[in-house]
Amino acid sequence: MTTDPRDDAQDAPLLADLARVLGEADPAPPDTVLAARSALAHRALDAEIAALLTDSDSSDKELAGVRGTGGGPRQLSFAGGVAVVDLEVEGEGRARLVRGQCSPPGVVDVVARGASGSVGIVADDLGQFVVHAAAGPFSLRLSWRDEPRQVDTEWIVL
Amino acid sequence: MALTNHELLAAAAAGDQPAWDALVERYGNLVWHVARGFRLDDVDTQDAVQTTWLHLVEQLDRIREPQALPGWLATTARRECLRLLRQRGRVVTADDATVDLADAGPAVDEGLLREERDRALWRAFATLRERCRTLLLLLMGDPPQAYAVIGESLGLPIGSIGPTRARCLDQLRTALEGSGITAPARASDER
Repeated sequence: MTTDPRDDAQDAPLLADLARVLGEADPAPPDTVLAARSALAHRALDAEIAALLTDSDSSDKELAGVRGTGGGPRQLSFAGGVAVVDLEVEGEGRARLVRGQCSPPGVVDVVARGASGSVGIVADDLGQFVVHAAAGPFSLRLSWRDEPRQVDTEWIVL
Repeated sequence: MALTNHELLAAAAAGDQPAWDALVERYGNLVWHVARGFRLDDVDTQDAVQTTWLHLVEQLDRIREPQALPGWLATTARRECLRLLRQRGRVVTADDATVDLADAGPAVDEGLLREERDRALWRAFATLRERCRTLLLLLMGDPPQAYAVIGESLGLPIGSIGPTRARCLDQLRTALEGSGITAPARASDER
């Protein structure tokens, strides 16, 4: 179906007005723009992205209203290549406590990246680790010391 | 001469900060306004927007259709906003076209607009369903996106874009006329 050119001529001024009004009434805040620019610093380089597979705060179908678990910690699972990362998240206000478990086994350096910067920790023999984080965008970069494996968990909002 | 999305994405993937900044400049308002339509509070909106850009960083060397990047960004922003709305327990139902919220969310501040017609247009836009808002935001881009590209990125048949556009603009005009404002602007009134 082709649009009537006369409709386009009437529509263009309205769309232009709308664009102007949105820009004047509600421009993106400068902090938001600056933060978006700084996002490039997090690019993965050699890391593989571990995709978010499950999140107890969501469901597979786009239905909602009821939280997945009745008040327990939020549970997330990521996988990329052979790596699996499971997280349990608790917290109040803007503070979060993240308990993690990664596999396959090995000495793993974990960098927690988020709203309040980056924190480096080392997982124990069982691949477990705990990190304090802030609410907001969050991603873990895991590097296995004895293997050429580096994995970034997909960014989520804590 | 402006670089194409393909060129900017390739440069950003290689770590070129100005190329990335150009993408943020080009589509920053689109992502912001798509997110604002979901009526999250300021902090959640900023988190959703930031996470959208972080997802683009994750996928920099994997964007198959650079020309469809605006639709990709709109779809990604929508997904992140829906996730946050669910976490806040505010979603009643959600499908491909609409999201029903349990409440209206924070009021949109029209105080920055001085002209009554502008305030009416702003309010009229806020009454549109999500699919119409996103479509119009994509159509406002400069240069305007081809229907084929919009359809592909939103998962809509190409033939439906024209009629949907017309319907959404009619809804906008009807909402405007409901406030006693005539649309579109008469040519003689242009500054």
